Amino acid sequence: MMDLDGPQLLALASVLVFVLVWTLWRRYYLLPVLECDAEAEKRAAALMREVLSEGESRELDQSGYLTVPSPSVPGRMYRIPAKPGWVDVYESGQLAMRMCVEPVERLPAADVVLMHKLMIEGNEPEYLRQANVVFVRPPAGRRYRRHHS
Amino acid sequence: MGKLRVMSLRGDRTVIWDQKRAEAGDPEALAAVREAERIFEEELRKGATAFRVAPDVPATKLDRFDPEADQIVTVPRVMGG
Repeated sequence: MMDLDGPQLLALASVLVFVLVWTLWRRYYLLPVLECDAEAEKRAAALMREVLSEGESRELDQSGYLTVPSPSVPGRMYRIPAKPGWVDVYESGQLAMRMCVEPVERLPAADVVLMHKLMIEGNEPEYLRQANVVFVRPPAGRRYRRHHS
Repeated sequence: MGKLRVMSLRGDRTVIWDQKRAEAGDPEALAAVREAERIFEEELRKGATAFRVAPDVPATKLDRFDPEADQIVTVPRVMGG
């Protein structure tokens, strides 16, 4: 049996804690986000293609995102990424907001794209009410100042 | 044909009914409509939202099952990430 002194014990404990945290994070957060079986992804992709117009499908393939106009605010466009991520909201061509909305159940990536589109087109108030806004563009002319003591 | 697509982890589940045969009173077709309506209501009770979808037309929210719809898609409840 090895004799470990204080710093060595501390280092060993740190490594064990890191491995434990990584394992739990991977098991309960990372894998649920990443894993849906291939058959499910295939079915979801088929449904998405069935619902999207030809132009929308082409945009998604070429740019990696789908643009959906707001049904209530003229000039507002939602940019939905093809893979799970933030939805960018553009107003008059400028990034106005960035937000995170996700389903309570795990879904294949293509279903998530379709979920955003359907919610924006058919239930925008609820979609915005649930969204977690992670960025808002400050009003025009406003500057952030550094405070000196 | 009417279709109900229920999004889930395994990809969507599809329920199909024959609108014309149901209108004509065909018992089998009427049973398929009732089954689709039951699943629709069950999904809404769980917090899902249902949309009528059609090519090149924006989706519209459905609060009640519509057997005349060609395609209905239900999406699970959403939340801020």
